[in-house]
Amino acid sequence: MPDGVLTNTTEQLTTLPFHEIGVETILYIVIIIVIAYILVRIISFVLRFVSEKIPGYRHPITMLIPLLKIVIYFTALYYVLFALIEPDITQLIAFFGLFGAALGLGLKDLLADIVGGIVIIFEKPYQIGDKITFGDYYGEVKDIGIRATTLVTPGDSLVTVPNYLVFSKAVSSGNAGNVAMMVIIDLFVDPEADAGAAMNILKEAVVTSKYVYISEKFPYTLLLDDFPYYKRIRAKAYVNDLRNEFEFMSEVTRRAWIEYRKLGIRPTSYRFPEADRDNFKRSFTKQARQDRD
Amino acid sequence: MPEEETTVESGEGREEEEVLFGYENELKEAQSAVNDYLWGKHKNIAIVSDPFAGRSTLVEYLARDYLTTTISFNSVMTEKAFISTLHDANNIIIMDNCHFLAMRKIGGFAQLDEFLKFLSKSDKLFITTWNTYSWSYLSAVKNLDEFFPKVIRLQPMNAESLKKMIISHYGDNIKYIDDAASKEKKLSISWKCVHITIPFSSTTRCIPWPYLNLSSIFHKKKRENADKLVFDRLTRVSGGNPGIARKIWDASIDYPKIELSSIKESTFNTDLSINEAFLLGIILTMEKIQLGDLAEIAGPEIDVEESLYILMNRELVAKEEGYYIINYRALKSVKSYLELNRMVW
Repeated sequence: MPDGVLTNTTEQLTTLPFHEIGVETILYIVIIIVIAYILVRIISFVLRFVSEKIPGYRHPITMLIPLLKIVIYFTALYYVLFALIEPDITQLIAFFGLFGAALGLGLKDLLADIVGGIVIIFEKPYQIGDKITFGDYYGEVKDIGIRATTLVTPGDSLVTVPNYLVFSKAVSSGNAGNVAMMVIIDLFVDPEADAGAAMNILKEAVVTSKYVYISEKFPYTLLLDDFPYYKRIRAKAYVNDLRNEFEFMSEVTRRAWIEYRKLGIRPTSYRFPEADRDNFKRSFTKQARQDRD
Repeated sequence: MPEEETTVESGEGREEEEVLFGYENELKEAQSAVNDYLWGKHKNIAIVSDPFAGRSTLVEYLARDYLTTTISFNSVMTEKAFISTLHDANNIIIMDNCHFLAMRKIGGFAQLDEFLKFLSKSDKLFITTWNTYSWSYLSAVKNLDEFFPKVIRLQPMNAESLKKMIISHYGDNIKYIDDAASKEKKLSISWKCVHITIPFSSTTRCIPWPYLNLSSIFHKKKRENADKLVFDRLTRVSGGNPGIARKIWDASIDYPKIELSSIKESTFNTDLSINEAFLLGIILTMEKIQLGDLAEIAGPEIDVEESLYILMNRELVAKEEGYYIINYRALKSVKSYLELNRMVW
């Protein structure tokens, strides 16, 4: 900032008409903050409650939460500032300029998180309720806060990811704001097995599942892939609610294998070396998610 | 072919002149498609409606006008024997309740596949009726809509059509009583500005506050005629479904008078587990189903009897002559709940 401008800004700020700050003002500020906090909690609770009752509109309703949070907290900030000072417009601009610079220097990570939060809310790379892969984590977005995004992993762990990471890390959303989400189900059968029959059974297991959702916009697909030691029968279909992702996979797999057994379709006899099994499963799950996204 | 599963009748043309209330347009549409067939333009017909909506009545009217063979399915079809009936049938075949040809389970589409295979090779005209949700499901899963280019959907009736239909059965000497007038005095709520001085500040703010307008109780607006109010309410409560409207009417009338307050809107607890919702969806799509068929669809992971007990306890499902059906009063709530949760589509 050029010296002249800085001197001018400092002069503007030194002439800020500060109110007399007494116990009453402090109490007033505390009340404003408490009201804002309670309001955010109440609105979050009500919107979440309503969204659970109308699953089809869960995403649009819950996306109001971070937006309202920002509006409420900024309104509270406005009231707090005006309890302390009563500036004219030039002084206000000067104040925010200096305030911003101070924040930028001292609390730049926090500021980056807040800006990241605003970008997430308006650009919507993901929304509350989405299943996303963010860095190394996969889970359902529980909350988009001013500072961080909270994910719940399939193992029910709560992961807090700072919002600024949205600028540097790739984020993939499995459902992009929709309650229905594509799920990939793979079954590995013996290379000698009747692939046609195996595909037909998996198809019927998918389309008769209690978790499936099929329409023109949400179609299902069956694919066959030949590998040296097995045939992979892959079904891609949408689960009616992304929260049922794993139940859907499990139900379809279980029912398909019962029918396979009746027809003599056996699983692949190839056995991965003990040490490689976990690695295979991990890399395979990751690959399946990438295929879906 | 087991007798209880299907009934086969041959129609030999018009028997008597009767009026079909409410579905006049749909009947004309179907007649026009049949006439097109007689002139060489072949389009199989699917008549699609909710349970109780009267699609069987509509096809009965069609059967009176043409030389047809009618096959009526009454429960889930497990054998392909009905196909042999199709070979010997008239050129126009009416197949009522075709949703009984498929079961939502692995291997449950064999009868439907066989029928579609026959249909695709046949020169005969098929007039079929389907449950709305079964039709949507099978169209998504089996491309059913490709086999039936002419789809006639029975839409909900309006109050006027329901009135015509009801009066055609009961006569027009019904006495309508608007006894709900005194009970329906509604309080109107408006927002008033209450000025509050913010603590520790001299600023006065306007806080919106709900205001009860009691004068609406004392200054009653002129109400509509009692018969209009009765049929408006009947339409709302039944969702415009003529079968349900008839049942509600029968339950409400104290012949020859009917009171507005006797047509009650019921509320139901639809907070269900995924298994209960799935079974409810199956009952809705099949319209009526026996315990054994339901258990086959549900598989071992659902305790069918326990779930049915819960559904019946909440009056969402009823049992009639060994079949589980949706309680007609709950149909609106059931549809809305299952659609919202994407259990039916």
